[in-house]
Amino acid sequence: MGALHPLSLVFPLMALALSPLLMGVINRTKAAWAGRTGQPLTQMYYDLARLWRKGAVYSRTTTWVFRMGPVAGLASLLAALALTPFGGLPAPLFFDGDLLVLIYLFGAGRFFTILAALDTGSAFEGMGASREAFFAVFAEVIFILGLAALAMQTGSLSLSGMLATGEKYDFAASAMVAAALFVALLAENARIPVDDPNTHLELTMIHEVMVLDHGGPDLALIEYGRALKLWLFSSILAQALTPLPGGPGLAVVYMLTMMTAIAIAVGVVESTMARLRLTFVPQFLMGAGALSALAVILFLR
Amino acid sequence: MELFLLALAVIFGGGALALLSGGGARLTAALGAGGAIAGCALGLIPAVSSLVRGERYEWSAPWSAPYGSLSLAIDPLSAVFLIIVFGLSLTAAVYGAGYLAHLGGARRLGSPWFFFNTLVVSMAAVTVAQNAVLFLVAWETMSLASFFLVMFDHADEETRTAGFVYLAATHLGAAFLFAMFVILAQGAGSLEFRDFSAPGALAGVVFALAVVGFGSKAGLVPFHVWLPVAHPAAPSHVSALMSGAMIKMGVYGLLRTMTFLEYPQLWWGLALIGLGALSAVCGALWALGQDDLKKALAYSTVENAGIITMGIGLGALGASQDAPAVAALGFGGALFHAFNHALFKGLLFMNAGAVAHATGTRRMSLLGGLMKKTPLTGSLFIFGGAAICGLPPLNGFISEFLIYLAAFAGAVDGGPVTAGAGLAVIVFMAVTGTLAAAGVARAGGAVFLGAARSAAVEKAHEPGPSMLAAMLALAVMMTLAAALAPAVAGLLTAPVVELAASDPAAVEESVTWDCGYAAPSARMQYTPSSFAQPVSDFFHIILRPRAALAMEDGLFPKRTVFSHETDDPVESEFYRRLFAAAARGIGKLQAFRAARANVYIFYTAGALLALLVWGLILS
Repeated sequence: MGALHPLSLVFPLMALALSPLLMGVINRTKAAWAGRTGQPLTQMYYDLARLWRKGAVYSRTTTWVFRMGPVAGLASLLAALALTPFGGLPAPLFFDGDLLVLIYLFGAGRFFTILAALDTGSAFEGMGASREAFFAVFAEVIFILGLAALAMQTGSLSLSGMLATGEKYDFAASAMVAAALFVALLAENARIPVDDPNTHLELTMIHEVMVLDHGGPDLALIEYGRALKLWLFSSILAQALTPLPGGPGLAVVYMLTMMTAIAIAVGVVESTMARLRLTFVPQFLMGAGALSALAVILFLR
Repeated sequence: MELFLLALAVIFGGGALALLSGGGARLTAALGAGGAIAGCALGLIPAVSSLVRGERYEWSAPWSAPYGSLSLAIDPLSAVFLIIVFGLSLTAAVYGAGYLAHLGGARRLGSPWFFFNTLVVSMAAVTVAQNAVLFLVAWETMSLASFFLVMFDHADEETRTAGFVYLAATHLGAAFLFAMFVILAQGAGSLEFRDFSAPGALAGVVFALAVVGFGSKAGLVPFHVWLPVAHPAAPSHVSALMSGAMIKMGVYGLLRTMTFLEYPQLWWGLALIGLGALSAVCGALWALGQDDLKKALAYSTVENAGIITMGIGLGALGASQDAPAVAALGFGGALFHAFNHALFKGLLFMNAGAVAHATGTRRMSLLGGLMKKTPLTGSLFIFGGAAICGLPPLNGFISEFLIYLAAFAGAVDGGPVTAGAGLAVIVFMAVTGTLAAAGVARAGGAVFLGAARSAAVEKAHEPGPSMLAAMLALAVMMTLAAALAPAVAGLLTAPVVELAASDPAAVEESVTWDCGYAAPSARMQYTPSSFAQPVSDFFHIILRPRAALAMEDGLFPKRTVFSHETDDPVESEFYRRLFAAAARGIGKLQAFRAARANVYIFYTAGALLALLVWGLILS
């Protein structure tokens, strides 16, 4: 497992700086598909700065749990960032089983977001919280099985190990894992067809309705957290998809290209599909779960 | 070892004096709780020392009971469970002193303290007994002491039913243990644990009997039905002790029995993993369906017993397949989870007691917004809840992490069977984990967050100092347990907390935004049952949701009634039918009943004659 490469520490900083750009790419793709020019790629930075300068309004129903929600959400993502490898180099922190810490950190973020939503006492936010808790059951199984397939393929129990090597590459299995991880990315990041980030009809929303009462700096933390989560998922997917080219420099360029391509793919999915009816979401997610299960079976010796 | 015996004597003596004192409530509590606290603190010394040094302490004396001997030993396996028993009993006694004191002079408290202390002593005796007769005596004492504690509110009809369900379940379980010890003793020619062994096929029979007998104490599905009725009925410090420590005696018994047998066989591991997965998923689902807070916690105990059993199953699987890493991680994770569960489930049951005490109800659909009235209790619930869902960096995560890691190690390095079993554990752990998080968020949200759903919340207040101190002590122990593991997740949290603590431009307060509706009310909140609706509808095979809607026809309907309940199909379908069938079968025996003594004498004589003939044929 060797000494830490200095670049390993640079990559998380890069994620912190560049992640809002991915949201820009998705928005531009959707605009282009609809025949519009769309927002500048850097729009999210302006939005975040604007929100950060604003004041906050808190409902009298709420307690410290509501105020802690956004902080706990972002904190869990920052900790997850320290565990996620990038560009073929190990993450700043890696050990056997770190993938479980990653998954449970996402779980912790979700838990506190749900509690914050319930703290408002609003029927809408309760509805969103209930759906988020339910769909997580399926999304987490897809994600953990996909990573288990990678672990069995590479024989490594650490994200840094299983994503860095491209030696034992198997096209069919990798394609299935990648498809499953892509669905997990859509579900965990509240994208179409599981959730709709743009709808303003509360009854159809999941994630968006849970944060309805947050404003100002709290909303900025949540929005920034969403960008960071998308970055984490797309970087894991990019590394799982194909073996990386040798050398950190080339690998980074390749990964950024792949992540842009993933963001474009999310935008295309969002432009061409409608959100699924809520009763069909579990079936859709179980289909993706079956894909990761199949990939796992391929690796059973 | 002498220190251990002294500890037991102090605990039992305290309880007996409390029973005999007959004085004021204060004196009784001082004797009972004082004895338990001092004795538990004393008892922790030899337990910790055995675990840390890896030593075995023995003590034995002859006993007049047939085949019995008073042989005791503390080895590291006993020590783990002794620490659970003494550690949790200590805090439960502190809590109980405050909890029972609120009853004032209304009740004589001598007998509750006597049975509480007896329960502690009998659990400690179960973990150190090295003779089957002694073990079974301790086991039965434990069951009876806890039965009397469950019956504390015996004036209540529901409590009496709960008590008898518990008594029946615990004795059915014990019957399997008697059979198991008879088989073991036949092979060994003695009832001492050190002589026990079971060769070949007999080992499988012993294992199966142990799983049923000890599994019914541990609360594994389908032997769990007594938990959700007995735990809510008992006083909260007793629920905490029963759920945190007493069900672990089932886990201990299973592990101890496995030490008598030769190397584990493959199907043992697979059977335990299957039972564990069933208990974990069903427990988490049923917890989501409950309206009674303590009932939800009882089902969460079923879930955690399932997680522990999956860990033991992985351990047995690893041992049978010559995969030492899987075995070590599985057994280690199971033991650590048993310890952790004692801490956070103890905390949560005490918390539920504080809620019930403050509001007079345990129905979540009547609560809400308690965080404003009882911020300390609420914060402790969220802390314990986050730990029980296995969220990093708390202690629950670390033990679940070890079990997961055993499963991953099996999936990556093992043969097809080990890998398949490992993957199954991974999937079931993931489903259980997310369902448990949903359940805790639902309970915490319904009780402490949002707006008050009924007037019960208005006069709520924090519990007394001793109850708070007990809960805080458990929270501190949880933090210590977590701190032993590498702090991974906590590292980056500090900077963000500071970031968010910087003052925003201006902070205003307003009402929750409700789509512009001018008069939002607490009744419009999402209720606990609506929160669980997507899950309960999707898993309707396991949860059996029943909804009833009564609506008036016509214009301006005045009254609309809606109710939503979920059933436990194991109880409603399986056991009801089983016992109904048993009652019909046994009913036929009524024909032999006669209210005349001479008929019974005829039966007795006939039986003796039959035995005599049988004896002659055999010889």
